[in-house]
Amino acid sequence: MDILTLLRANIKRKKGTFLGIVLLMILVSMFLTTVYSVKKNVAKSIDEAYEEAHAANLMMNITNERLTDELLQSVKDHPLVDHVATSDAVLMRRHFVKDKEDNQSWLIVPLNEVVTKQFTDDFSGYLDEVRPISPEGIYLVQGIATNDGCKVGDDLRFETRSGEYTLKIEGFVVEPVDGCAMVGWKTVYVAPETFEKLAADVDVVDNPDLAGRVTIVYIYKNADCELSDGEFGRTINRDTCIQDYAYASATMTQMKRYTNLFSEIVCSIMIGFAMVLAGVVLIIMAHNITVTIEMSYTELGILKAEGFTKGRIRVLFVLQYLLAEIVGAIIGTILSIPMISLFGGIFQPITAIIAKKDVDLQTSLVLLLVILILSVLVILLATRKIAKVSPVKALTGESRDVYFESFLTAPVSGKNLAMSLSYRQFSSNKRRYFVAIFITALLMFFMLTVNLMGSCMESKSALQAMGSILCEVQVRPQDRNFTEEEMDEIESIVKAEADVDQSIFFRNEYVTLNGDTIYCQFYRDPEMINMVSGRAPVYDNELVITDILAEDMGLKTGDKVEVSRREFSEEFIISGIFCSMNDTGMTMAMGDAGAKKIGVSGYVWYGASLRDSKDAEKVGNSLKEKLDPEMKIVADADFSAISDIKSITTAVDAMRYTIYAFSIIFVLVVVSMICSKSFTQERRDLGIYKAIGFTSRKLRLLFALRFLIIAVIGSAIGIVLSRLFSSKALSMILRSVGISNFISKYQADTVLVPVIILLGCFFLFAYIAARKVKKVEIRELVIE
Amino acid sequence: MSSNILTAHDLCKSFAHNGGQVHVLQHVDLEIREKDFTVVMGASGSGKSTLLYALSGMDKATSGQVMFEGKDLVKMKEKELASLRSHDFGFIFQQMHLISNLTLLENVAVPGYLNNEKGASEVKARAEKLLEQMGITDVKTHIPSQVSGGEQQRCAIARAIIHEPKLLFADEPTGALNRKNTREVLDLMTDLNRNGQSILMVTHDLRAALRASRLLYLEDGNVIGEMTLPPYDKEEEKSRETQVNAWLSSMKW
Repeated sequence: MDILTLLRANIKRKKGTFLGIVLLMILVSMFLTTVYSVKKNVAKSIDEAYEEAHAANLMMNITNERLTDELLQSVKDHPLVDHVATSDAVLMRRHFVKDKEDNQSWLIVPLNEVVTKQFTDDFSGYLDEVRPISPEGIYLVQGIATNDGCKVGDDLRFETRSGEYTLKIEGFVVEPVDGCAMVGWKTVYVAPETFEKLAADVDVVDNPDLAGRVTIVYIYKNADCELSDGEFGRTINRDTCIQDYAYASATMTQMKRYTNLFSEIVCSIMIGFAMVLAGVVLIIMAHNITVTIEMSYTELGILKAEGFTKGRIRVLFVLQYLLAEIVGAIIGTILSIPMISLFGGIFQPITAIIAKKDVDLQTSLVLLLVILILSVLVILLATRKIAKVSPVKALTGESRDVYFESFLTAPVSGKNLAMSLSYRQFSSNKRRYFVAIFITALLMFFMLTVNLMGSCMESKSALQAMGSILCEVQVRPQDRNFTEEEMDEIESIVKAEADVDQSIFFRNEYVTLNGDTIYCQFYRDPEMINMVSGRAPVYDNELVITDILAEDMGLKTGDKVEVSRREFSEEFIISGIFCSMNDTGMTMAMGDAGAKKIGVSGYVWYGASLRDSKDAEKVGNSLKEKLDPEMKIVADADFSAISDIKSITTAVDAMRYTIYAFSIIFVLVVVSMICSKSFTQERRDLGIYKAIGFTSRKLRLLFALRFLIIAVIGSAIGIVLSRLFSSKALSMILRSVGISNFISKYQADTVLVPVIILLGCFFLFAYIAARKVKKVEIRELVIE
Repeated sequence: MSSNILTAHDLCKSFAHNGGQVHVLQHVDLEIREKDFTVVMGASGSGKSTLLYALSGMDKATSGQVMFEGKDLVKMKEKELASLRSHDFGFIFQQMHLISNLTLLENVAVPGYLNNEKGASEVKARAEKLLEQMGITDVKTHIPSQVSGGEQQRCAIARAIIHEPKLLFADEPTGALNRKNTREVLDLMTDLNRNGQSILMVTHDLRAALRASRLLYLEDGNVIGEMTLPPYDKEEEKSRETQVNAWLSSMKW
């Protein structure tokens, strides 16, 4: 009962501290519950969508010329296969959405009963049933809307050798397998009669890999097959070679991974940040308790003198802080309900699936329980000094603080009175501010790291260095390879108009590497390959792989590998490691000589990275003027428009702003709490300052400057930490999207924005928190 | 006779207490003259310190006027009062009240820097000189907790006069000092007054009262008696003591 009375009194007397802990805990529990729930909801929604769509374990696209009945039958007869389904499709690579060409390949299929879900026009929900489609209409997937910014009612146009087709977007349907923005091909739906007409009109062109009739093959494994999707695919291919004939294939596991990839990355970073926030709460609590023990030495002595044991006093502290945490955790969990809807929606443009809005209460409760247990340990650790409180010392006032000389002490200067006084206030009590410095450093590290991630996506050179192919000028022939003459002509036109950093003639195809289907890049000039180690593949038996692929398949430079494609099967040597973000880094590359050995010849894509992006338009115009009019020419000075990761910038920005917002709120609470303690400890000094002529405004400024010093030191440490660890951390996190060597590009705004935010917040919040200075009366110094 | 430096008219100060009002100062009329060493005496609870704080603008009077150079302190805003403290008034507290994390030299120099009338190096030189005058140069780099009470009070005096105030207020400056330190501090204040410094001091210490050129007696928030004395001379301290004692007895002290 006595403890409860003291508990009530303590909470009432120190309601600022209590509310501060409650607020921090609200933020932490809201953040943790939201992030974990969203992570789980997105994964669960993807699983459910795959289930509803009866997605196959193995999918592949094979041009009709290559898919023989025998080949298909051999798969159907395979003992591991339950059944095989096929779907007719038209492969279309030249399509214009709102008159702008979309770079992905589309598989046009007739609308069928497999499509069971359609989005409302604003993507906020699903319609009760899929609407019938008109012969002039087309249904797209949300990933296209994300990448091309199109909406219901917009026109789109196909160009084939048979002529042009204009269709109207009548809606967006759910296609869980390839509907997400991260997958490089898309399935779109038209009315059956439109499909028949289109299919009949599509010519059999000279390069069947580029356009024409294809069959999508869906292979389902037996219910008793215990192999993973990857192992299943390898076994099927080993026994039937069907994948060797496909121009694209993927397992369900791979496609799910691609769909969920970015939300996983963002959630991982957010969880890391949430852990830091939880750590900050514990640190703040420990600091607060330590300061409280120093400040309440006399009261604690009196309690001891009255018979309170150290154990009871420590229990009092535990109850006080735990109560604040529990209240905060409950409110935070409730507040996470609307946050889950809001935050979950951020990923919808990428996953093209509406995420569930469930609260993952179980995980949330376990995590909060862990935090509470850790809190108890921290409180017990922080209150161990209570054992040393002596009632005699406390009552005789022997416990007064003594300031000691420090090497950090600098003289108070008349020329810079405010700054030097603020620095003295900091340096003479620096232990009190270590916590604030530590927290600032952590927040700065996170803000910088997320900023680096965002700014790298806006930096051409950074993306290129990490293996993204970004070219302002691109040329593609219509449904065929370049001729030798065309390649020479293009190069000379481009070089005549602008300085070129890098130019490549390129094609890509899926081949099998030691039985696994791997995305392979073929370069006319292999010296253009972005090598990390070893050397570019010069000879006809050499290839290079990424370190992600090397690690995944247990390969290294010098190893011999088997590469198969259709009827070709050849042994290659790995000559080095290169870096590439294509196909989330699971990729290999070879030169012209190697390509010919496995039956690949000719190039279908030219790209030039210009030294000055502004020259793009001039180069584009010159190419359009001089080349065959059927050549597809793209010239865009804005490299982000041609970047393959533009779809994720929205989510990165959302993450960035969330981390900023939470950092600001944390700074507000931390500054308020530390300021409040400092204010109580320095009340007498404040009175003296007033008595010698300082105004309240000047004193508030001293407070604000002191916290600015703390923010400067913390930020500097945060920047150093970021220089040391951000790249490593991001390489680890972004490995799944093919970035294994994240290159940090510290631009002025990358660093300045978080620095200004943190410094500004510290200064402003300290100035606001120090408003109590006004209430300090000089009279308080009087002893009657 | 010298002119008035500070005048109080109809000055009242009340405090809320147990749901009612305690009237500590009741319609006080008073003039403080330039170059005088004015000492206010009175029994405990007579309102001496309250009067001092009201006159110095450290505390707001409930009503009345405190005029300094034609301006009413009671009506002044915080900024004007702060300016007054950093330019025209100096204050010595009973408990010294030095800033705990500044050295003695810095404690003295900071009001000078704040005053902004002299350059930083000039202020620092004057602070050093004052500490020398006060005999505490040896400990100028020490922080308050590292020096004795007497040294702290001498430092507080130096701090109060660094900006050459027109009027120096002192609230029981010897209240926390031993006999030896009391004498030294009073000698310093007497010297200051001899050099033209106007001083208003409240005390209940007879030894301090002996240094006055003018004595005021406060009872129940009213000035009920006044006595004028010739400038202090150590040689005549005995006769001065007898004279002051007699006056205090007449005030029923």
